[in-house]
Amino acid sequence: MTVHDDELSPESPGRRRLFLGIAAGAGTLVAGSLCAAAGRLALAPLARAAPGGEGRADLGALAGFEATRAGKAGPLEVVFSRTAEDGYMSRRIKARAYVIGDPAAPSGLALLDTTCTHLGCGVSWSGERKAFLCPCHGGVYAADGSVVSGPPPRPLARLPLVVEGGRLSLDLTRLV
Amino acid sequence: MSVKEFLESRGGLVTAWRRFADEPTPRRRAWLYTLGSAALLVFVVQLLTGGVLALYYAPTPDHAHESVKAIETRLAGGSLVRGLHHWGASAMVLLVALHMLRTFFSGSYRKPRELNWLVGVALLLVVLGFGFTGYLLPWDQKAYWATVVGTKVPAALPIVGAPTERLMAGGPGVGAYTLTRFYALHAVLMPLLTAALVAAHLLLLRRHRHAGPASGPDPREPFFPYQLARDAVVGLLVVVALFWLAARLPAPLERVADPSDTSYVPRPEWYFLPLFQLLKYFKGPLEPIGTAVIPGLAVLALALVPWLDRSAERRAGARVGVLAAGSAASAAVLALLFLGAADRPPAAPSGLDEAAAPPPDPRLIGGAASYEKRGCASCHGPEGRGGASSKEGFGLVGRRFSLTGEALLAHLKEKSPPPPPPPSDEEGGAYDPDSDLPSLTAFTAALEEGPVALAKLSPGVRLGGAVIEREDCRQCHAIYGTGGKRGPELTRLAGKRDKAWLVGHFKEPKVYVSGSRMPSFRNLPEAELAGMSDYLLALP
Repeated sequence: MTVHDDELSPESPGRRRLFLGIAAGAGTLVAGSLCAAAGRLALAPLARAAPGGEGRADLGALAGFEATRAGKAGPLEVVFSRTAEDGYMSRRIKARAYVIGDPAAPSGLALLDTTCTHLGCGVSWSGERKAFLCPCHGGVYAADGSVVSGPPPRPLARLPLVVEGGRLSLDLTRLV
Repeated sequence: MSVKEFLESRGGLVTAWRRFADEPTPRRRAWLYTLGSAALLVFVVQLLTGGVLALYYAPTPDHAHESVKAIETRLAGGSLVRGLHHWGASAMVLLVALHMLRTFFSGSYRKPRELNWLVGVALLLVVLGFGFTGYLLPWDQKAYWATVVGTKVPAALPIVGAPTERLMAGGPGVGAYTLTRFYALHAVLMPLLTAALVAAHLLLLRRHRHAGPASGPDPREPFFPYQLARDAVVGLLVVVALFWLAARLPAPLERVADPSDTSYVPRPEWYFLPLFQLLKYFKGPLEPIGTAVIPGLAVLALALVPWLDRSAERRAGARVGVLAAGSAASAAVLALLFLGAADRPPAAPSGLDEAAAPPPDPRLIGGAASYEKRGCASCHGPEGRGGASSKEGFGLVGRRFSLTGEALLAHLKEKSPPPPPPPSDEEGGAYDPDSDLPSLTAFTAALEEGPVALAKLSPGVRLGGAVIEREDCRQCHAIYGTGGKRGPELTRLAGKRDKAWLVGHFKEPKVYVSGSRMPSFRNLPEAELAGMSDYLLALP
């Protein structure tokens, strides 16, 4: 029956079943509890943190964007800094966005994210080609952020823009 | 009781050693069978160098880059060890791939060795995983952007895509928790997994014995010392190559990751180029075909090789179909690799005329400047073209010179007065009036081959090239592939930097790049600084 038959005393089937059950039960508990504890922490990033931060990031005076609003100038880059929660740390990061003219919006302006919707590289506006270009895999977006050509699956994301008291700002509480 | 007897009676170690040492290994094709042990040796090199690097490395976004920079510049032997680890990664992929090809073509995976083939496939995947997780760790531009792309790749998959991306990145995007995750995987979990897989690989090898050549006689000899000696020779060659590479081509470290820099174009390591290239053929909704379906099927096919090979015998003649399919697949991977390497994306948009030819080497521009300053043109004509103004000299373009070496230097010192001394407000270092002679002779030597076209250069680029030569930027920076390695190579700056940044950086390097060791050039005239920027931005 086993390789050590000559050294073993006869066993009873009931006792064997009992011990098999104990080994399987205890083993499952040990492995299960450890995997659950470690797995829960390892998978922690799956839980979505509450979106957004606090307050607003100022983007400048509305007057500076008149030409863009009137359609006389292309998208304008704005650079702002905000506090970003990054894992265990929170730090001031510099971020970029583009203010574009948008006749559909009450303010006539909209704010575009610079993250390419393909694989996350950053896009830049090219005045020569009148398009947002992604340097990584050749994505091209129109001035309104819609996809012109290349691999991007979606238009550039719109960011929550607030126009108030003659100034433009980004609403960080509604930032996803 | 002797030590030997004690070890034998308590641990069975003498018997274990004899069994290990006397393993019959093939004498024919014996050198081909050193690839696996060479890969194992490189794994040990990676454990050792990686362990030492971990003594000094800090896996946080705030300190990762600084700590790697300190390893590179401040710690004795740091650059060498990091170079060994960097090149070891490439060597590992190469050796594992070669070992796998050898096993495939000799049919050694056939019954009863199927399980060991599977362990080998798992090891290949782990080795690629080491590459992917390892290159985030320096937290430089390449690290950051390659990982952004790498973690976004699975995001396009239906259903599992988004959670996979979050689990890889450890959060909504590449950040602090990505770095700790990749570090834990790279330095703790994957080495343990690799060690276990390697142990299984070796135990299975010993259990089924070495398969030996696919056909013909198969004389055997003990592993010790015969095959061990061959393994040691190949291992020595590999280690010598690693030291040579680490000393000649230190591991690159770009500037610190900048998530707001949108002009950076990430390029993967060579071993990911086939995947990178595949990505380009499938766009939009078809993208998962290139990122998941084809690579997934390729790995599955590779794992199933022992079961796909239905031929009756192991010799090559009986396995034509399998060998042809394997050769075609290898050729396809190689083709993708070369296409990926050849396909450099266009430079990011910049204000400069992209159609303009790259500027000549700064040495030639500097040489031309001193050719003018020293009045060479009064005898040899402008740019060495001779002409009416030449009194006693002659045109230099396209002529073999009778004067070389010392005689040429003597001629230059005699005939052409050195340029006037510099303005007195410069630093009081000893002024060598003849320090421009090397670039001047380089310029005149180039004239032997034909005219050096400088007229089309913009005045800024021309001035900048001469200043770069005069200030000897190459002492620390490579330009066109030659120069020092203390600073980054000056290439493809257009799109990454603009003129204002470069000029500001020349004046106050430390303000722009923390920890920079570059001296300040704030004493130079604005026109020269602007010219240097123009020249650098025009470099390809």
